[in-house]
Amino acid sequence: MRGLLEKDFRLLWKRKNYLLMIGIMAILFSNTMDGYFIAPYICLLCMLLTVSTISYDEFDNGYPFLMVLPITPKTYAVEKYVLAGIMGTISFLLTVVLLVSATFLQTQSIEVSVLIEKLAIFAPFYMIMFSVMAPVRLKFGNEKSQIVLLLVGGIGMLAALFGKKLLSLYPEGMAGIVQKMQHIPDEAFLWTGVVLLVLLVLGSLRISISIMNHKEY
Amino acid sequence: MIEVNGLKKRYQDFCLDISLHVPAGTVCGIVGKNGAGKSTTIKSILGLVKPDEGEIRVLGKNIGELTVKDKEQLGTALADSGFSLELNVEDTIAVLKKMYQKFDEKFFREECGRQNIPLNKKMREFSTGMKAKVRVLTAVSHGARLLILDEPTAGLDVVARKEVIDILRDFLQKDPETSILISSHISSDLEGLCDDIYFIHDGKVILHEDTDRILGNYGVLRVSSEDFARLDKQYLLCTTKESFGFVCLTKEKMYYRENYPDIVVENCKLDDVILLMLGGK
Amino acid sequence: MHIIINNSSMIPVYEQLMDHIKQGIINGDLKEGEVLPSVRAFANELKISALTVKKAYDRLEEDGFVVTVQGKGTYVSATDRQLAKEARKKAVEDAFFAAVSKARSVGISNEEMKEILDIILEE
Repeated sequence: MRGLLEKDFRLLWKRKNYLLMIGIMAILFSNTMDGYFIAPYICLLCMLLTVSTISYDEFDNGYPFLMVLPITPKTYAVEKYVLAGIMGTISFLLTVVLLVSATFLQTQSIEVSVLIEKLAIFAPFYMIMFSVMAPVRLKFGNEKSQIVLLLVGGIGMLAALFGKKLLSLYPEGMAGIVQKMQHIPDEAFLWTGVVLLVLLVLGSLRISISIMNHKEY
Repeated sequence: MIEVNGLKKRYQDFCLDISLHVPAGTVCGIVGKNGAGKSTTIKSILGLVKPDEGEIRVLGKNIGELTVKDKEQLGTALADSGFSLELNVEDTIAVLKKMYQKFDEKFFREECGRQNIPLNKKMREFSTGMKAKVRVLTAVSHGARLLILDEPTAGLDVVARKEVIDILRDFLQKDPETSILISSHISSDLEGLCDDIYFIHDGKVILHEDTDRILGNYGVLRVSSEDFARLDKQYLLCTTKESFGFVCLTKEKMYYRENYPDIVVENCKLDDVILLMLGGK
Repeated sequence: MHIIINNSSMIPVYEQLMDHIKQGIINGDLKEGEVLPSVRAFANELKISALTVKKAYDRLEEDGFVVTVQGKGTYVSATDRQLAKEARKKAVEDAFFAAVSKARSVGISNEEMKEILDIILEE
């Protein structure tokens, strides 16, 4: 896996002009508008960069050669998730540094712990998005997966609209549920959320491993 | 080192049915037309394509059971697949160092120097010959026991082909127990390298023979129709009708030279075998 | 050892190789106990397959010219002088055999052959 990480980081570094431009934009954003905007910005970017390494592998018919290197299909899939984790951490640290330095420059005081709490909300989004994109990209390849993801996005929106409709039709039922949920302590929500996320990521990983195991070249 | 027994794979217009065996310490060639099934056979051996039927063992194990350590003993070069072309050779070296425990960086760099391969240029900008050399050098630089090469000289000019084959010869000399399986549609590359050759056509092995027997004992007869009639046909492998009479492939050119001294009996090259076995009956 | 292989010759490559080595031994260019190049080194140099070299070495060993020690190499055999003589004798016998076959193929009888031989021997 170390070899694969080396390869992916070198490929990402090849785009350093692009990364530099984004970095400058991020610095500008953090100093001008509502600085928190850069949080989802950098977060999304890092996730897309990770997924782009899958495209690089696919490009120029690189997969057959990759699969004869001393790695297993499982290692390949796991490495992408590890890479996503590393990139996520980088994006998080970068955001913190930028926001702290921006507020510092604007001579405002900021509570770092508050900042971190606010940023932490993006981690689940990052994980959910990656958990959906990665297996789709691995299974459908670059072009087809764009269509699939549009479909998935569309279905997601329909589901949200449907949920909203449901809510509006049965306000009493919803109120009752909300009432019950008030009694459950916040921590339980938090830990449930964390467990669900971890399960989602692991489930996605298992699907990705299975996709890689069944691929033919 | 490689055992393929009854490998079968069905495609739309094509059916593969191959058995072959590469013992330790041998260099084995697969020759055939484009589309004959050479690449598919090699991809099946490498586990890139899953066969419908048959047993494939590499380095003594079923391909599915090869561990990462086993794969380090395998050096591969594919015709149309390699590291991302966005990378340069320096990047490749850095990745190979982390992939293979026995990667010999010094040797790799020396060879790149010898072959005039630039280290810091994107591989996308390389000529076909340079790309092929990088792929072959990758395969021979990590102490592999077995090389599997699919058309390593495809698209190369005659000078570049010789340089690639020389890289392979040097590799073979380092350890007499190493083996190579190499496929090519350029038979002349294989004549001076391979111990034995499998001729593949339409997904099937039509001939398997030692190279020195083909070059030394096989022959091409060119005879008129009258001479053909009186010819002892027991050592003829196949025959093609021509305007002047017949062209025949034989396994025993000495027999025909001694008994029919007036008949044209030519030496045989691998290309002759392919052309005659495909054209004739 | 400098050996030139003729790829266009009628004689199979491994036979050419054998002949060259035998000549070397008979001439004394290759001394008793001298080690011959390894199979792959020789194949590399001559640009032929390793199996061809191995066949040549195996045949030479059968004929007693060389000895192969597993893991060490192939050495010029100690009893070469006697064998060189025998090899030369065999070469002459082969020549006689070829002459007789040719004579028979053109219809010359045994008596006629003996007559020819007598004439030649008297010269």
